[in-house]
Amino acid sequence: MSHCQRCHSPLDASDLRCPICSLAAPENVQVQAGAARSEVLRCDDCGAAVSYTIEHQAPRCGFCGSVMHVERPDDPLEEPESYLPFLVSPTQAEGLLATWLRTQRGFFTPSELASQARFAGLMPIWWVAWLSDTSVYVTWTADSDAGSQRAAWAPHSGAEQMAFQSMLVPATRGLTYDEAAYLTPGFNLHTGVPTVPQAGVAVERFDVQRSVARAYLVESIHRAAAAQLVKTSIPGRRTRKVRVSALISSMQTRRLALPSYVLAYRYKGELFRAVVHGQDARYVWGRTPRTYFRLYMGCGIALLVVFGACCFLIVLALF
Amino acid sequence: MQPAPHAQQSIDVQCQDCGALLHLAPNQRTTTCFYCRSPAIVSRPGDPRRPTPRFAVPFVLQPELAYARARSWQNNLSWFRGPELRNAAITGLQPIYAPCFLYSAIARSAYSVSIGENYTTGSGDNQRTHTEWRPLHGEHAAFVRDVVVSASRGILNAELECIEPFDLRALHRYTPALISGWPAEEPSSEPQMVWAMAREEARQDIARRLHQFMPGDCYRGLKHQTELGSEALELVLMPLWVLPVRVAPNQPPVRLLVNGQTGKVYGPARMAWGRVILLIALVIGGFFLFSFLLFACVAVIA
Repeated sequence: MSHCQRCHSPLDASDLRCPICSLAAPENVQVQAGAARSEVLRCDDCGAAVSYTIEHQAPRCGFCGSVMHVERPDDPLEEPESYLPFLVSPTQAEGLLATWLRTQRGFFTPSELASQARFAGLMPIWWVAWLSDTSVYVTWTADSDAGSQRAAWAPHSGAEQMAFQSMLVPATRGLTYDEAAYLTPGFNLHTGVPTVPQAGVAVERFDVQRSVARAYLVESIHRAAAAQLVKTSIPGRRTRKVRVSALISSMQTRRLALPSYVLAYRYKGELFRAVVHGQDARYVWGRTPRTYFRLYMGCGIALLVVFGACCFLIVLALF
Repeated sequence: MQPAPHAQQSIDVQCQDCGALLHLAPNQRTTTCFYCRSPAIVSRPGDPRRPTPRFAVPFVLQPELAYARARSWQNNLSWFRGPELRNAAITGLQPIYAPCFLYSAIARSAYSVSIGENYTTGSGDNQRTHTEWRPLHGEHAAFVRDVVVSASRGILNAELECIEPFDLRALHRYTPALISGWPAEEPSSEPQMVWAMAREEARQDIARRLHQFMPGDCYRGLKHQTELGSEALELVLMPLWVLPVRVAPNQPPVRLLVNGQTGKVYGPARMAWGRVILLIALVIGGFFLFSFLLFACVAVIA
């Protein structure tokens, strides 16, 4: 694999230009020696001279109709190159769901959730994500409350080198962004294997082409840089209008398939979903039913108290 | 890579099909034999000042569609653009692979600016918004990508900018198969001029980005100094349909350019200032006439 001479990011064999900085991929240019001469492109089948045609986007022979193939820009769909194995069994996942249901406490969560919920199905999936190691030189500007005078905001600027190691960027459409973001810290990224380690498990497709994936990754790095700047570099407690310009270098990317269980349960006839981490039993994410009975009760009691207090004050005022 | 200059002479090459001698202008890369119609691609001896194309964007727009786009553009010309071009016959569509350079670089800028942060005083009807100005200095670093500049003396960079952008995702590695049978031009602009145009476009791009980079509610006095490093120029052939349009028998033809990929059209439609002045005169005259009539009515009633 070659690397871009400007930003040192790896280049695929089919890359014409660096996807990060647009520098042309290196190639061996053969310089012709001698006098000028004319070349005629000939049909492979009948030997007649052929011309490029718009209809076929390739040279086509006017005599025998055969179409020559030209090299096209290669922009394939992304495929996982590493699969992380399941370390949590389906039975364990079911048990984790039951435990998780028991621990759900909240003002709007029904108290009988664990006893009333009925398990409705389990599906193991490998969902997809990019794993990126990137070095970035970030220049930024932002408004923050640090150093503010009459206005609530003061402008700030800065520049720094950042490194993002093993940054996981979800590419899944099956899981929500929140679900994927919650599950990502629990994966052991060193356990990946190049082939599907377990038959019968659905593998999600990346569903985007390589060029789109790279643009998305660059955008994610900008977002991650902005988030890190807010945490570590921009002074003050409140920030706004964080603008980031990043010079990305040495962006290495791997495509991973990450194991998880998608479980369904029913509560009073309605279907709800939970996701159990395929490697770390501590991570369970799901949606719980909501009961508004307590809220209505609370509001009713509050209204009664207010009404009673008003009546009391009126009676007190009259007598 | 050095763009090609042009002090080269025309050359003669032999047709590989019928053996006829073909005469080529110095800026031609392809030709078609007059006798046997064989399309030929010319390979010249290696010259670092005449780079081989690195990429090509193939034609996508069919000639019929290019005509239709040009006619649609012509029909949509406003009344202020004069009748010559709107009434001219559009015929003689010519394809050309125009030589262009694709410029990319790393831009590092140092800027200084006054940032305005708004605040309010008073309340209700007395509420006023004021701006507090604070100085800000800093740097901005970014890649400059996909700057396309014309390398042809025949097609001005300003004209090319009017039919950009090209979809560079369709960029192909250059191969003679892509231009076989189609006219293709060799680069003919002076190297210094190409570099200057590319850098100027890159600086304009950075200036636009810096405007978006500023924090605060407003800003003023933005000054910046930009250094361009790791620059690269790659020769790319861009597809254009060219339509020479004769607007009057005693005037030289004007040229319409149609982007051979996207169909965007550009033509030098001059402004008919006589019509603009006529319209302004009519509006002013109408206003005075209306005022006079109004005044007369008021006077009669009084």
